[in-house]
Amino acid sequence: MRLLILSIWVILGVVVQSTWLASLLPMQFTPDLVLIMTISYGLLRGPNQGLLFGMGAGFFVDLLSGNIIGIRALSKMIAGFCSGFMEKNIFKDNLLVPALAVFIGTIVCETFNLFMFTAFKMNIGIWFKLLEILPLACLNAIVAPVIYHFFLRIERFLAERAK
Amino acid sequence: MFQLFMNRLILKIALILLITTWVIYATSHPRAQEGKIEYFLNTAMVPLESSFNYLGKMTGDTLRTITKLAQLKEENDRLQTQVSDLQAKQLGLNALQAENKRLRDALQFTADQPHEVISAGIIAVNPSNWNCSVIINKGRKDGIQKNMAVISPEGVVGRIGEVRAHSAEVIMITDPRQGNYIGGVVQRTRDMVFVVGGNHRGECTVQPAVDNYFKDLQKNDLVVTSETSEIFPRGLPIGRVVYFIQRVNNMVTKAYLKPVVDLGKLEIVYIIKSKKELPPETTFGGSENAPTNP
Repeated sequence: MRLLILSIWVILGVVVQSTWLASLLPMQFTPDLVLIMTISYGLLRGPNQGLLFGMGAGFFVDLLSGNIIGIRALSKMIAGFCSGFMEKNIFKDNLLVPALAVFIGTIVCETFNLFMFTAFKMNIGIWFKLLEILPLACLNAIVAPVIYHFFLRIERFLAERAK
Repeated sequence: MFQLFMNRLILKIALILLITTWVIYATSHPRAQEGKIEYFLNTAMVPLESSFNYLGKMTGDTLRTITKLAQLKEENDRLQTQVSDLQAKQLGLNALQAENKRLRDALQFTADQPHEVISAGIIAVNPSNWNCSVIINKGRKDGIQKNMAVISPEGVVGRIGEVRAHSAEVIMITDPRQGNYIGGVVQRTRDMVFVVGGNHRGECTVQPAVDNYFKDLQKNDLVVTSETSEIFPRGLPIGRVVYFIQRVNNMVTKAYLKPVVDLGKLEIVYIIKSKKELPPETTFGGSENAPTNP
């Protein structure tokens, strides 16, 4: 059940990100919904689950994106795993925590992605891309509480159901 | 070290990292074509992406339409204001044009007149419902005197009543006051008549001047001023017979006349300051302008 709901969420996140958000938002980049989901899931379920979620969602995005497969999966695994360490130390109803975690996570992940892609000889303007990271982190941080809130409700629904 | 390998979590993570690194390495080289999983996932996602794209476009279009509607409303309001302004200006221009034409006609009429005439504008009407008179903006200072003939390009209007320094009263031919009559002649039969003001509002009574009845009066006969009129030059149209009363032997003793001048719409009138006697065949305003009896 959990796997099904999470899969649907990830698929919807990827589709919304690549269709609606891409056409509605005037910026050249869109919020990375999958990264936000990974960090949110890590915050709610711990490092192991965060890592697995990041791996699954990241590979899904990689497979859809083509080119080098695994870099985004690796960065999301790191994000999910690291955010999972905060699971026991946060008050889960506080929506500022995911916003802050996503802001930092986005900077780390995108920087990691940038260096990885550059290392694999992708033709990327490093400085231009670096300048994009901060606005993207802000955008992700704005969207994060909404997605985190949905994930929190799903978790509570699944917990209720398990009882 | 052994314990580290025994930690299942670390082993799992290491395995995942290993696999991921291998995948990255394996896919980092240029490939002839994408893998089967990629192909399958991308193909499977197409319908979903298309649907979402369609919905997204619809949402975008709706938002754009709403924005456009707001802009259109604003533009419409602005254009409506412009139209109102232009209409107001147009009305002003129309009024100016009409006034210009009226003044040109007045000038032409004054120039064409064999008599010495003074043009005057109507500034007020008699407030009483019992009298038909108007006030003009010319008076004693302009050479206006009592009982001067007042005409318009269409025909007889009336005569001057009371005269003040800068204004004067024009008694219309339809005014029912005593003594308000004009000597006239039926243009077709040359019967001499008196046109007396009054009867139904806006009409005059026509009475035979010589006999007690009309020998041959017809509806729509034109009555013009005659030589018997003391103040009006002859030949000015007064009005047309609209109906008459027949007594015994079908004799018509009294008829009623509708003035040729629309007295309710007058703006400028002409006062004949001094009339000149014209040859008998000359008609009012020249032969072209004179209304003829059908």
